[in-house]
Amino acid sequence: MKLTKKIFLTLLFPVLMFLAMWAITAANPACYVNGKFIFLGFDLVRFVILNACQSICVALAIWMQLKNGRFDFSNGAAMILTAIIAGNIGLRTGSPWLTLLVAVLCGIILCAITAAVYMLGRLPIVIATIGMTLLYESLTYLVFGGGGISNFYQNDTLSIFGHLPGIFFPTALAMGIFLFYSNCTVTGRKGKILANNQAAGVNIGIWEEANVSQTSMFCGAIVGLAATIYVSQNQVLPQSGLSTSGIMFSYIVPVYMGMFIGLASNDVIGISIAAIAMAIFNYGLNCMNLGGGGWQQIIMGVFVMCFYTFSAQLDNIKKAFRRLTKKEAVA
Amino acid sequence: MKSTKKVLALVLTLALVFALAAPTAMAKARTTKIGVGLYQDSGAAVTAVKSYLGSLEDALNVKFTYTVLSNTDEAQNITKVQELIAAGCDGIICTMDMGTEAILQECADAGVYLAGYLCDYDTSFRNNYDNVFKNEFFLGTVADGGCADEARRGYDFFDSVIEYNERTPDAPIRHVAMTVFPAFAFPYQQSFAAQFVEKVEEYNAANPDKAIEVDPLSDETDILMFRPMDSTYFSKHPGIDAIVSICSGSFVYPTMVSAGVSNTMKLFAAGYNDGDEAVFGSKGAYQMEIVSPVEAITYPLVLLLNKINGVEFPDQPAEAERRGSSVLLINSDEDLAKFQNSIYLSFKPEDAFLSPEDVVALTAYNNPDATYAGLVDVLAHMTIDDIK
Repeated sequence: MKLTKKIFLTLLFPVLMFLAMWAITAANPACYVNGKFIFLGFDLVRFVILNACQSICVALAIWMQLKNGRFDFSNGAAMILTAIIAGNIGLRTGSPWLTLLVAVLCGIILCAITAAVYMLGRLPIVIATIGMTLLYESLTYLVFGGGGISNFYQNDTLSIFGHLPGIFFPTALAMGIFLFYSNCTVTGRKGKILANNQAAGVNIGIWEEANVSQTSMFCGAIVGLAATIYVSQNQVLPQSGLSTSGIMFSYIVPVYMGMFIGLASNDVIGISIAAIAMAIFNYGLNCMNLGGGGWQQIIMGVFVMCFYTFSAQLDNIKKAFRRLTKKEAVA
Repeated sequence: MKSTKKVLALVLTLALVFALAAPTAMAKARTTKIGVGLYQDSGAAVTAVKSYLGSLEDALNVKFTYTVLSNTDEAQNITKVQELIAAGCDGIICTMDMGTEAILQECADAGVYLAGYLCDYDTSFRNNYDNVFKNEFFLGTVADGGCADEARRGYDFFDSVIEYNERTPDAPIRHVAMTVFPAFAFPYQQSFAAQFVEKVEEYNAANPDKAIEVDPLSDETDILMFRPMDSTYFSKHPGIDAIVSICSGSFVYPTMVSAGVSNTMKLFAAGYNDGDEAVFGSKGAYQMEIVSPVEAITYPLVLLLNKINGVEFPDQPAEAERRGSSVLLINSDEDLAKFQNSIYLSFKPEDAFLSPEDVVALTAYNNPDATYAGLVDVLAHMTIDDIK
C-alpha cells in the first residue's frame, strides 16, 4: 500500500467524524450561544487532546496484554492504586517528575505481582487478574489513610502532565514503550503467536513465562504513565467492587477501533487515531447537551456496535459490492 | 488413691462453680452497640465522624459499627441494616431515606431503634409519615442546614457573593452561572437556585449600578448528572465571572482546572473536599463552601441511647421529629483559618464542638436535668463562629 493511501485511510475516520459532528452540531440550536457556534474553537482542540491522551495510554496498556493473548482486568485497579501512591508522594515532595517516576515504578511492580500470581498460581488469567483487582482495590482503602488523593490535580505545578503541553510527554513515552516492546524485543514479536494459539505457541518452543513477565513489566510502565495523567486530571478516590474495571473499560473503545484503523498503519497509530475520533465524537455530544446520562450511552453504544459490525463484515461488504458492480456491468 | 481422686473431683467441681459464678460476679454494664450507616466509606467527613464518635465510646460505654448505604439501591440499604442488626446493634443511625419502611420493619422485629443523620427523611415525611415518624422504633432525624423547604441555602450563596464583591471592589463578580444536581435526587437544590436569583433581583433593583447578571438555570446544561461538568459549560455561559455550584464543587472544579479558568473564575460551592483549603479564598477559585458539622450526629445518638436505656426526656415530643442543624459556612480566609481548627480538618476529638462530658450531660439517663430542648439547642451552635 502506498504511503499516501495509508495516510488517507488512517486519517479518514477522524476527518469523517469531525465533518459529521460539525454538520450535526451546526444543525442543532443548542450549539449556538448568543448566536455563536460553540463546536469550533480552541476548547475543541483542548478537549480532544486531553481526553485522547488519557485514552491512548490506558488503551495501549489494555492492548499490550490483549495482543499477547491475555485480558488483564487488574490494569484499572493498578492504575488507580498507582495514582493514589504516586500522587500522594508527589504532593509531599512537590515534584511532578518524581510523581511520574514513582508512578512508572509502582505500575511495573503491581503488574509484575499480577504476572507472578498468574504464573506461580497456575490460575486462569481471568481468575488471577480479577483476584488481583480485588486486592489492589482493597489497598486503595489502606494506603495514605484511605483518603485517595483529591488535591493533586488542583496544583498547577504538580499536574503539568495532565494539561497542555505537558500531557504529550507521558503519552509519547507510552507510545514509544509500546512500539519498542512490540517491534524491538524478541518476546514482543513472539507474542502474536501466543495470542493466536497459546498451546501451539508453547508447543513450538515459545517460553510463555518470559512473555508474561516481560509484557507485564512494559505494560506496568504504561499503566504508570496512564496513572500520572489520571491523577493530574481527576480526584482519585478509593474504589471497591471491581469499579476499577469500569474505569478501565471506559477506555476500551479505542482498542477495538484501533485494531481496524491500524490495518492501514500500525496498532499504536490506529489506537491514537481512534481515541482522537472518539474525543471529537464526545465533544460534539457535549455541545448538544447529550454528553451525559442515558442518551450518551445509547448513542455511543449504537455507534460503537455499528462500527464493530462494519469492521467485522468488511470482507462480506466488499464481496457484495463487487457482485453488485459485476451485475451492473453485465446488464 | 481414692482420696486423691476425691480431692481432684472437689477441685474440678470448685473450678466449675467458680467459672460459672465469675462472669456474674465480675459483670459490668453491657456495652451498647450502635450501627452507623454513612453515605460513603472514605473522605474527610467520614474520618471526622469516626474520630468524634470514637472519642465518645468510653464515656458513654458505647461501641460503634460502620457501614455504607446507597442513595439509589433500596435493597442494599435493607441488607446493610440487616447486617448491623445481626452484628448485635441496639440502635442504628442512617443517612439515607431509602427503603425506610422496610428497614423499620426489620428494626421492629429485632427490637432495634433507628434514627437519622444528615438526612431530612423528606420522602417519608411527605408520603409515609404515619408509618415512619409515628413508628415507635423511629426516633427522629437531624438534617444539615434545615429540613426540606425550611433551608435558605440560596440566600447563603447570595450573601457570600455580595461579601466577596465588598472585599474586592476592583474585581467584583458581575456575571454568574449556576449548577445543581437533578431534582429526583436533591429536590430542593433548584429552589435554592431560585432563592439565589430572587435575592439577586432584589439587589439589582436596589443597586442598578452594581447589578449582577445570572444566567437562567438550564435543564440541559446546568444539571449535573453526578458526573463532572463538561468543558462546554464555559462556552455555553460566556463571560461569567463565577459559578454558584449548589451541588458539590468537586463536580465543577476539576473541569475549571482542565479548561484553564481556575485562576480567573471564582467558585461558590456546597460541600468541602480534601485539599480545597489550598485553593480557597485569596489562594484560589473557591470563595465559599458549606460543611455539615459532624457533631450533629449527637442528636440521633442521644435519642437512641436514652431509648435503649429506657429513659426519655421530660419534654420529649410524642412523635419523632426532624430537626435542622446549623452549618459551617466558610466564605473568607478568616473563616478558613477557623475551620482548620475544627475536627472536620484536624480529626482531633478535642477540636469538636462537644466533649465526651458534654454529650454525657445531654443524655437523660446520665443527667436527670437534661432536656430535649437542650439537645435541640446544641444543634444551633455549630457554626463557623462557634469554633473555639
